[in-house]
Amino acid sequence: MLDSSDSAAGVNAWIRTGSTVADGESALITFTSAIGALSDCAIVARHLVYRGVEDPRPAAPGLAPAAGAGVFIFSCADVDTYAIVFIPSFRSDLLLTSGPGAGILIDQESSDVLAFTDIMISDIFCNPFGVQVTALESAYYQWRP
Amino acid sequence: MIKISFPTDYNERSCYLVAINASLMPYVAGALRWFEKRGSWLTDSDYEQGYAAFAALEACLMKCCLDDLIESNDRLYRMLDTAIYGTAYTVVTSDPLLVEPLVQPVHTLDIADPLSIIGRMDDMSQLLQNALNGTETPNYSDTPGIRELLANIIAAIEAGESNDEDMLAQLVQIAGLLA
Repeated sequence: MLDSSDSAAGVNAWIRTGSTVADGESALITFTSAIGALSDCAIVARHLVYRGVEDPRPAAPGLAPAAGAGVFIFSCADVDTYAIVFIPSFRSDLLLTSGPGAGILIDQESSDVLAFTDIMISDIFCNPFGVQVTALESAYYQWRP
Repeated sequence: MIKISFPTDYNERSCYLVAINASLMPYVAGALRWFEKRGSWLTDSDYEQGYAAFAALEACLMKCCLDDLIESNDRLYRMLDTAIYGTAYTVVTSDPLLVEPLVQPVHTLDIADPLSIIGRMDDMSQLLQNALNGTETPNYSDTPGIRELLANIIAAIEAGESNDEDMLAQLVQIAGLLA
């Protein structure tokens, strides 16, 4: 939401566990309309966020630090559009062990990596601007604290 | 934090090649993550253009190792050297790549293989010299040459000593040299 001076603000609300996507979207539209009637802000964006919480919380399977990320850069359906997805605590055994990119480049032939990239490309995923992910361009280790 | 506008001349500018030690790459590339966030950019349009540009930059960072770039130049050199001069190269080890003989600063005109481009050109040159002039070359030693045979025929005709069988034999010889 933006006020007349373009200062940003927002409203948070939560929906019941087990609600369907359709229920969530429907409620979001109704809720947005009701909020609009109460505020002088312009509503410029809506976000419907789904969360899943593991209970009980599992232990980390490895020792890789959260800041050590596997960064995947995908190209998208429109010209010169990309999507960046990074995975914290990236497993070091998935990095190449030879060549100039040893220890940095991600092994794109690994079955676990292939499973992930296939999902990114073949499923409903897109970049932050709604452009469909189409191909993996580059994948390597970055430090993202 | 000051928000930035996406450069308006982005598409008109060329790129610089920056050498980054591979060990530093995770940190250098990771530091670019701020430009993937909406909060770094002044407007939504700046954000969309900036996100795409920095994503392309991050993809590019690990696509072309300088060693690979230099090696691709060496590969091109070796391909030309083999094609032009016939130099035979051997891969001694593949990781790290070691190819022998090493690329030298200068090259002589020596022909390493007669099947190379200049090897074949040299062979053609020898053939022409031998066939036309009867010059003995390393590869060809037929004598006399076409010029001498023709001169003999002309001389015989001018002297009125022409013998059809002799002339025919010399013409057959010429035809053989041209075949």
